Amino acid sequence: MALTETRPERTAEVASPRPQPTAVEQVLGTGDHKTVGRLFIGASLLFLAVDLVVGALVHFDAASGGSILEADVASALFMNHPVGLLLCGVMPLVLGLAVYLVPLQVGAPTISFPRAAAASVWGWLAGSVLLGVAIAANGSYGGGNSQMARLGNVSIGLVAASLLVGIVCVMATVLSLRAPGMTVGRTPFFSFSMLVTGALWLATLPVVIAGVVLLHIQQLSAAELATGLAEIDWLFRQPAVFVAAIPVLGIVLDVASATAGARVRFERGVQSTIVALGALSLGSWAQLPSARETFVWIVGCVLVGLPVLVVAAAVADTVRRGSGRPTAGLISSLAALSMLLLAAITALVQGISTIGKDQLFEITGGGFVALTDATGLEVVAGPGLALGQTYLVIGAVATAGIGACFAWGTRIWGGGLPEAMGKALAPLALLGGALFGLAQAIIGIARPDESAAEFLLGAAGAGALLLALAALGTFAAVLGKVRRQAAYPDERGTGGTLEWAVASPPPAGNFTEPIPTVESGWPLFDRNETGA
Amino acid sequence: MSIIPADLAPPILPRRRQLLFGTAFASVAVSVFLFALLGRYLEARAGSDTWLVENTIPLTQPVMQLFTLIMGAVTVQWAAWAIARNARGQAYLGFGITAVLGAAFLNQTTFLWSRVALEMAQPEGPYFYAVTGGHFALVIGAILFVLLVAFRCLGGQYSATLPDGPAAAAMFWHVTTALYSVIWLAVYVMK
Repeated sequence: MALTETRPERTAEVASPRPQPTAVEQVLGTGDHKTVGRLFIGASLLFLAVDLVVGALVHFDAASGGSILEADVASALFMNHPVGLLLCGVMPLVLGLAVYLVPLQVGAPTISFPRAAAASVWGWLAGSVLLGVAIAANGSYGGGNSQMARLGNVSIGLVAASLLVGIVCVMATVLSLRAPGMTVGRTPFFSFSMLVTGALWLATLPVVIAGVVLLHIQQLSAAELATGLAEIDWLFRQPAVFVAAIPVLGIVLDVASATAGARVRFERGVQSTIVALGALSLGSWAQLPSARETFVWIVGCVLVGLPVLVVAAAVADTVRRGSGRPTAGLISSLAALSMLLLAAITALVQGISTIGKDQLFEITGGGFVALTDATGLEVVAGPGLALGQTYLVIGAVATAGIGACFAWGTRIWGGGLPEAMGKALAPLALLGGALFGLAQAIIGIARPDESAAEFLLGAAGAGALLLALAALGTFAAVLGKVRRQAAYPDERGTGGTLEWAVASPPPAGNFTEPIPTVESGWPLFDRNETGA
Repeated sequence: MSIIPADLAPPILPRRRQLLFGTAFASVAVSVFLFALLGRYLEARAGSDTWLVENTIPLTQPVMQLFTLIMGAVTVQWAAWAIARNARGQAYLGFGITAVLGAAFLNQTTFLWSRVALEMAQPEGPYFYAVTGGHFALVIGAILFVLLVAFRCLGGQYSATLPDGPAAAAMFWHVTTALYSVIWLAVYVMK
């Protein structure tokens, strides 16, 4: 194109810098996966702590024979706290970690569909707050106010839909934005586990949303909605409850490798193990009680511990061969793996008790909807083993999430979180999570007398409180780091995956230099070995 | 003519297949959602002896609806094929016809609802409207997707070098059609 006029001089206006958005504008209008991920992690830690305190309160109330809370309040809190723990606590925690870390791990400049990821976090936040409002106003499942009960039901649908949107962004990132040479088999374990998790969430959460839609359009009363919890009750049971736990395997493997500075051997085999746990977690088919007596269900109960054992062996082998010292992240990860093993054992007991029904022994394994009155010991003892398993899985995911916040602290928060604090929080989380779940499980298996049941319920409440303290401690550490706004040293860490190649904290666009072709699952170890 | 400052970073071109993967996952999610609703519908129907005895569902209307969606599947695939060959005129025509066929489907659905005259207070009501209404919402989503992609084609975003958007819209339409064929069989044929 020919210019026929003299080009005008550049005015000062053109050269002047654009107005910079304020911090609030940056957060509200962001499409940056790092900000979205941090929002998910911070808010979910807070919700997790609140839900755990509610769980503790309910158990203390039951241990005292219903002297703390009114009957209808106790009923509503009891029925809703597992929903909050799972959908507002641990699932968004791992999703937040994935939104932040997966693009860094696969060498992507951003997440796929960044605005959808932002919509995911705001939708989830809105849904979680609405659920809290509904419960506070005597609504949601088990509440007495029909309008608020419907609001709680709808907010659960909103939360589930938002989590779905977020996981689609993560999965699309893993499959379409990988660095050159990085095949799916070479993706880091956490990213790979999120891909498997995503497949399971796609097969699970829409079923929950369908249940919510059906409950909503039937315009049920509060009492009818309480029994309607059966539509989503299966999500908290064997095998679907393990859907939330798949990322734990990825976190533990990556943290062990980064801490030890060593590769995980038999990479493909370990990845197959993660896929196996995914296959064993598919639970949307087992909604009806009759499905829990089938051969497939029993086989799932028996086998679900095997992937966890294989990963534990791989982690032990990696740590043994490595040279690193135990970090807060590693200790927390091992604690999470221990809790997951305990959850697998509870699954095994459920399977055996189903095989030996009327022959060997019988356990109490009903769901939350089996409750007729949530104030007495007999009632809370009802869910027993199944609820104990749910608590153990929630404890495992929460502890792994806390460990990930410390292990990837230099990547996520810049400069890292206080290591000593992390080392103190890890045993707290282990003790809390194990106590929370095991005490509840023992009630289901042993059928204790009243005084023993009171003691066990109190122990479960104390466990929930300890786990809440660990989550709050991590949140406080994160808040302190975010508010300090200091200049951090550029710590690259000892990991072998790509997130350890970026600056701390990562700049906009993540990678300032082109990424060389990836030739294994640990490109940074390759680089160190070849001296390139 | 605008003058681009020299210090501006080059635009980051969208990666290929990203939208296809995202659409595929979204399609899986909506399929699971609709199958879950359909499962509930069939479970409730199996447990009832008086299912839809007070109402009549004509078969002609659902058959026409199915053919409408199949015609839309052909035209949206034509549009995707055309944009991959930079035949923009054909692509716009294909997108336009698809959107009109989608609107026709919505019109047919509301007409069918008025013919069936099923009340929400009836036991069948919530299940019937959950399934058919869920698919109705899905078709609205598919039309919006087609229109969005068409406008982006008008803006030059998609071409033979980057045909992902039209291909993704076509994929979503095909899934919508496939889901309706299941609903057609389970709800309207096997009453």
